[in-house]
Amino acid sequence: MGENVDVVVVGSGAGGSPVALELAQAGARVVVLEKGRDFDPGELAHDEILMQRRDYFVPFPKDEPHTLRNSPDEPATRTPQGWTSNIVGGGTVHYSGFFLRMKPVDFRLRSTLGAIEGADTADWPIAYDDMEPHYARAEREIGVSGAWRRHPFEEPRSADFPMPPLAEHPFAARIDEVGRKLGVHPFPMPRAVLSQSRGGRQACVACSVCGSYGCPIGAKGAMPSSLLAAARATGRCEVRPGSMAFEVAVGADGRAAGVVYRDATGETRRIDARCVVVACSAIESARLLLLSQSSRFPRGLANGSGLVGKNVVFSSLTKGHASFARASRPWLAGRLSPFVNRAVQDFYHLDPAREGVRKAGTLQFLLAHANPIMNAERIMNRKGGPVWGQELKDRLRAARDEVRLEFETFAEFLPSAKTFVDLDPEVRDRFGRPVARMTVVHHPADLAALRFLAARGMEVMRALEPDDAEVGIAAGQTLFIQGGSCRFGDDPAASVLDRNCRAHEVPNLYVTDGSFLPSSGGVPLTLTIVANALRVGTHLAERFRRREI
Amino acid sequence: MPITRRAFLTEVVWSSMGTSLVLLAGCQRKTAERAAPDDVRGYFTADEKATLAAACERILPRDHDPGAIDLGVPDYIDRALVAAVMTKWRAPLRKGLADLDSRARTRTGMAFAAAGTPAQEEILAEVQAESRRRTGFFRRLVHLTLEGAFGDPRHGGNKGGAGWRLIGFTPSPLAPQGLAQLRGRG
Repeated sequence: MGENVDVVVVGSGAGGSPVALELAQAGARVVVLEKGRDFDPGELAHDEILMQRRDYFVPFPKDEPHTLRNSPDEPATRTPQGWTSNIVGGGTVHYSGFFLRMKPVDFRLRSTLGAIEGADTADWPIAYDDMEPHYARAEREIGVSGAWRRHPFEEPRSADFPMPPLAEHPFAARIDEVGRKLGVHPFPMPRAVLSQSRGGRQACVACSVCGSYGCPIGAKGAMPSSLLAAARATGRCEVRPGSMAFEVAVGADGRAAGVVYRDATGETRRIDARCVVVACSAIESARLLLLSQSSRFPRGLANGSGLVGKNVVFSSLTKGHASFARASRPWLAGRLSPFVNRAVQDFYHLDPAREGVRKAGTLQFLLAHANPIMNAERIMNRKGGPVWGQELKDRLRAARDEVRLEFETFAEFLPSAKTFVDLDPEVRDRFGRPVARMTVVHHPADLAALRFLAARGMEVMRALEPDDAEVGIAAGQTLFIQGGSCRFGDDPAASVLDRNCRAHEVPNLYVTDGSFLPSSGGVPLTLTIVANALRVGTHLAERFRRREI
Repeated sequence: MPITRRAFLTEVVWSSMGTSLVLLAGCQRKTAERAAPDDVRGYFTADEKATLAAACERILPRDHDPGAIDLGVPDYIDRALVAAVMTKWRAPLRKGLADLDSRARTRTGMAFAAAGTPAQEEILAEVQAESRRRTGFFRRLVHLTLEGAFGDPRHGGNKGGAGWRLIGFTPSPLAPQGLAQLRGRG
């Protein structure tokens, strides 16, 4: 007890690490509370049983569930979804590092599209140009590989990618060729994966086990290999694994006083700070604020507007696949790069509308993840499955010759009053605390956009002349790409945070993960979260230097 | 919980984007277990393990490629159940194995392990038809059989990586040995 530091950051992922770095470099003493353990980059890193099928990254629904429903009228059921990752570095440890920027249109969604019935769109309080230097810096400091290629929705850039693209699978060139015929413009997907060694980090060796696993050699731009490593190197940033924040404590003056948390030994402790930064994912940050109730903030901290947990956005998903037998395609033989790395953004914003669609997103092409157990299950369950015995064995052997190419989308998820997070009235976690309940309802415009994108994805697939191709998921959403639960804006009645991601109602409380986002854009959110956290971190460092913190 | 279309969809969505945490009821808290050392005691009795081995072998039988027993699948499952995270799996599996035996005795007068392939297949097909639930014995058995056949050999299954060869999976060059070399090169 009695511990006091300059700044406490809750969460060590894409939203917390950049802020910790900026403040530690400015001389502040920073403690980062991380619920999960430290990632072990050793020999367990590629173990499918431990990494994908146990609770290494995400707790079991039995212990620490979220609950999920698709309508406010139905009961919510327990799910592991809605967590990003409980580990030092958060979701950046097992992400694929698809590092696309948002586009200028995403910052002005309301004024671009006008009012949409049933949606609560808003313009951002800042413009793309305000974010651009921070995008460039995030790409530089994390180490993004890519190539600047012209396409209709390329965003303005002040600098090229810091390093060339990764070696590509032969599908990349074929998709380029097919794109020319179809009149679309595939371009190399920027990746937060090093194509060249630098700063003590080794270049990617194309091991093929990437997305959904941690990188044992630090080639992936996970926070513990990049920005968080730099923060720790200052000697002023301490990361505490196994430390779950229970409550942001409030003083008599209405300012955040510190954080009550459960430490790695199971003790409940309190750490006081002059500034509190919450960055434990849009869902969990909203939950933490809603759980931080006091006489001054009876509905939850910084929630006078009632908007904490509202306007949550995810990434709209449709997904398809195509199979290609190696036997009849010599160009698929041998050991090839695991990276197809092709994205298409020709349908990012449609003006005039096509098939009733105005805002869609990114279509990307990739090889199926290398998860042998999961792939065996898929083969077992498809076409009339599950099968077992000799039939299963024959199927598994036959699938050896098959290369599976997938397309998936990162598409607009319109914010609305129907999609939100609140505290579940019944379900509690193993610590006895109410869990986050997610109510997720797609806007009809999102579904139209997904149908449109699926059709475009299938056009590319068919043009590649596969043996077989189909849409696997017509319409869904990726729940660990999440934002919007504490929207930022200039009007305290219509937003939780101000333009610097400081709570309108609590002058020393910041939220720096994806919670601030008024729109999902049509890209994965991580790069934007990092860039924004660097922007807020710069602001906080200035305040610290001016002794305002 | 029956597999509703929505449950299936959300699981697939989850899998597709990264962590493919398998949504099975009854998993217990605790951190991920480490590899079981060779001398670790398994969970089942010798009789139960014989039934388990016979059932796994029917799921993934030996032909010109190795089967579940060759791959060490029963050993994997026996050890996996010792881990605290698998506590809730124990009773359903034990009960399911006893059920296989009692069906075999009714049908053939012998234990499941001794009942012969055709009777074993019939019994498993029967059990599968009766247990479509995700938490049912058959689903659990298949789930663990595939883990034991195609998971990392450090857990006691997939002996010598033979399961990976069977399905054409090339292990990462960053598996432990390659990793040590890379680090050595520094």
